[in-house]
Amino acid sequence: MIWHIVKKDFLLNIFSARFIIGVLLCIILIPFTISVSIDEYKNQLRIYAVDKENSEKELKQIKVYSGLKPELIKYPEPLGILYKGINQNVGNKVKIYLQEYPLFPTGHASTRDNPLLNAFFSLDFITVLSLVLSLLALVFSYDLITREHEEGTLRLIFSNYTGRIPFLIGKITGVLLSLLPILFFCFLLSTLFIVLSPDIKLQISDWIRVAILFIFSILYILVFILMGTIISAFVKSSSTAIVLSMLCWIWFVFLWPVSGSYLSKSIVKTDLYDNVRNSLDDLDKEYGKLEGEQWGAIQKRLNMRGTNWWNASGGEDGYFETYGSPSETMEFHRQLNTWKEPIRLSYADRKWPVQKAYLDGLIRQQKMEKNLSWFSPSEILVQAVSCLCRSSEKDFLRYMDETRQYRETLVTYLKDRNLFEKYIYFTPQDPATFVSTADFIKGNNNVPDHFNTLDLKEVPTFIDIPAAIDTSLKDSFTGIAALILISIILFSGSIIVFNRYQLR
Amino acid sequence: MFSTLFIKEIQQLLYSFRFQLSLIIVLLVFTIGTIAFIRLYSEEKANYFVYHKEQLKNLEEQAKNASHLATLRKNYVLEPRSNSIISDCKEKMFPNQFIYSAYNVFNLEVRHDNVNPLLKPVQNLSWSFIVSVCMSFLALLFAFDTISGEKEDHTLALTLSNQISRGKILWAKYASILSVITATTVLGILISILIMSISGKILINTDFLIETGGFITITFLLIALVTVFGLLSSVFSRNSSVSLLISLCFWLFFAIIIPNTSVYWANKLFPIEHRNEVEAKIAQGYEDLCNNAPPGSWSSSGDPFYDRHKLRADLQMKLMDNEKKFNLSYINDMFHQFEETRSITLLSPIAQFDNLNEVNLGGGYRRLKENWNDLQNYQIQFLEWFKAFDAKDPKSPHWYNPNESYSTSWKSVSISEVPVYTEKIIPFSSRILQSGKYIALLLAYTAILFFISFVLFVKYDVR
Repeated sequence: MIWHIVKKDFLLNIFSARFIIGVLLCIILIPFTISVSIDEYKNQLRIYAVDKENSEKELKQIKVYSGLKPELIKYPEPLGILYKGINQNVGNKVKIYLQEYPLFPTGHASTRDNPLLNAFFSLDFITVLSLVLSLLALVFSYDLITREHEEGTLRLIFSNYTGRIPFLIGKITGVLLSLLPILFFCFLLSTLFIVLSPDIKLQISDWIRVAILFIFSILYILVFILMGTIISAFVKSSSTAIVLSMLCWIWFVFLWPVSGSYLSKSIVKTDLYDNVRNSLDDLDKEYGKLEGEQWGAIQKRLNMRGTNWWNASGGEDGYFETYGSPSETMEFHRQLNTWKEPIRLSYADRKWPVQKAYLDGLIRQQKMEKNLSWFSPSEILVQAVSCLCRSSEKDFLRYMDETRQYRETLVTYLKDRNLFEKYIYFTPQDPATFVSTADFIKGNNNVPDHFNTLDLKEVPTFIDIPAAIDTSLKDSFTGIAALILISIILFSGSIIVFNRYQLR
Repeated sequence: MFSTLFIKEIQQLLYSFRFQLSLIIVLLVFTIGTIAFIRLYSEEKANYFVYHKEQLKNLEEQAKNASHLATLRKNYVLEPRSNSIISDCKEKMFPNQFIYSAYNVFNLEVRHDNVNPLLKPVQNLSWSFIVSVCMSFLALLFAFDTISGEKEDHTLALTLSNQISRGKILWAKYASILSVITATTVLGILISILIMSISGKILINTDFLIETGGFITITFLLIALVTVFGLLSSVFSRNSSVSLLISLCFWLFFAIIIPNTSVYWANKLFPIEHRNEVEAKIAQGYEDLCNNAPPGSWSSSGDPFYDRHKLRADLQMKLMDNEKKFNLSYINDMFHQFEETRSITLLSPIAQFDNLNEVNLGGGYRRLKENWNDLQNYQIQFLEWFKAFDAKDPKSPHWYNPNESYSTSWKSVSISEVPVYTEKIIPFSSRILQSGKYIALLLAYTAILFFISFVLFVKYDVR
């Protein structure tokens, strides 16, 4: 009997105006959405290639270890085409400094070439899907019971040996099966666009993730079908049911997600980054004073009257390079580096709690947003999907943890080889060719202008390990569990309400 | 007869379940939005105060050497607007920081400092967001079955059996929905103002009340148009569920599809250079200028009159002009691309509503562009002032170097003498003038659609 109801509803639905309109909506929305996302992804790939080339070029030109500041360039996430998540808020470059732990990436990969265009929002595939499918699910299900009641067929059905629960299951399955072709069509259309784009290469594991996304979407549709069913069983007329369904839709899909996010910003306060920067700058100033004192102390120890340099250049994070300078100056810098680099590292350790407190504030605010989003099925879906598309805050924080661990590995490498105490840390010149101060003053410092760059083969390299499927599934488990739980509650509610439904 | 019908329709709407539920939702959203806004605005204002204090401290430090004051890059950050509860005009998404010195206005940037990157980028729950999403949707929800619903209930034929024209019926239904939705919005706004007044943290002055009046007018125009869409879909079909689907398609098309495709059109129809290409051109120009510079252009000394300082100043000026040429052209391209794309989105009444809000509040893109243009004028004044100050100093060789202080005055300067940039508020008269074309467009849209609805209703088969 269930099968008959399913078949009847399925056939009625797929030949209805709402089905045609639903398909038309998807035909208009999906290609535009995917095209914009693919364009943005290609732009990210282009920026990645430019940044990567610059970073490698810079690294190849290093002649002294004080200039070793690897810049890690994050490869754009291909699944970001389907859901951008927080990847759209953060940059793609992390430079490894000794004086500070990396906190947030920099760079323009996430922003458009024209930042003014950020005012035009562009939705991603999953957001469009969550909007359209929830709407269609409600439009298909709001009159599941009321229409039968209004047409007088409900009494006719129950005059046979049909139970209310099988009837309800049949009806819900019928709607679900009617929506599946639309969902499948949306996925097919988007994957077609992706496959036909030569720049996008998805791995097998990525396709598995897309398949899981499809399953999550079915669950999401089911939640809204059940919501429509319970409304349909709760009211007597279709006109009331549709109004109630539409109000639920606008509330759960538009109003609550914005309200929740806005409220979380207002409830949990975060420090202004300017203030954090000021605290870090104060520590830098404190260190600057110490360095000044040490500068004088070493000069005194070496009986230097002043410091003479020949060819010297400096830069960020303690980079200093010289050649042709007198041996006294070279020794001065060697001793200064031996003292200052461990101190700079300890200052980085002192800065980290300040940075961490700021980061914790941001995480607390994000958690509040997440907690408030439990009241909206579309937000729950988005959370689960963001983990699968590796664009969740967990993926981002994991990546930043990896960069900090890499910094530690790099520091250990430099420490283990006592590089801070060596001349190669700041001069490419062979110590045997250093000139005395007397010769330097006389101008006898015939130093070649060309030096070899450092061989960095042994320097640890950063390997970005994106979350594996099992990790992503684990991360998205709560979201999926919540959707299943909501479905069970709504289904039970539908049964209870429908069992009390007056057929007259 | 019209008034009888109008009153009957109003009563019917007020007693309906959809109105009661909608009212709860609207009031809830207005309340949440206002409470959250008060806290966020107070925080933003306090942060801006800290930033401003820090800027003054830096300026005082720089003023110890006039050349430092002229050459060091400063940033001007747009102050949070107290009227952003009405509409934030998407200012969070626009660049909000200008980098300038006495020699140049270098760039405009997005200042992320008080934005949590771990949060989803969503719009503020401002009045304009509530109206454009919630009220426009409710207007459609109230109007979609005005005619088709009555036909299904068989009450339409009964009404028409009286001596009343179809035009009057349509007009009465339209006016009643428009009145109820506008009244609900005004109620939400009043509650919002009440909460803000009680909090005492938001200044409610005459300007704010005038802007609120402007906003209500704009809201009325949007609701009028959206209601006509609902009416049109209602007379388009004999079945209320089909009317609803048509209404929803209208809404999705204007609220989602058109705005969502803007970036696509921007890139396809009005492409601009990539940022890294511009940066590469600047770098190439820099390299060429450095390679072709006369020997000694990088030399320096403690003596300001060291003759190579003139070469150095010339080179630095050329380097800045090189950067300025490419940057300015790129920024103008950005403005052009944005404006052209926005003209496409004017097809959507919601985009027109957003533009009208921008005009009414003097915010968003208009504010950004006004400030950008004003800063260019200010920079000329600032440089003139510096040159006049420098001319009085006999210890300065007056070789203007935009990046360094080797060859201009090192004298200290009183901060009160330095011209300060202040943002100009766009006058109301100018705002009204600018809003004319958008209002005309909305009215024309409404009139045409109402006329089509009327024609269709005249031909509507009530049986």
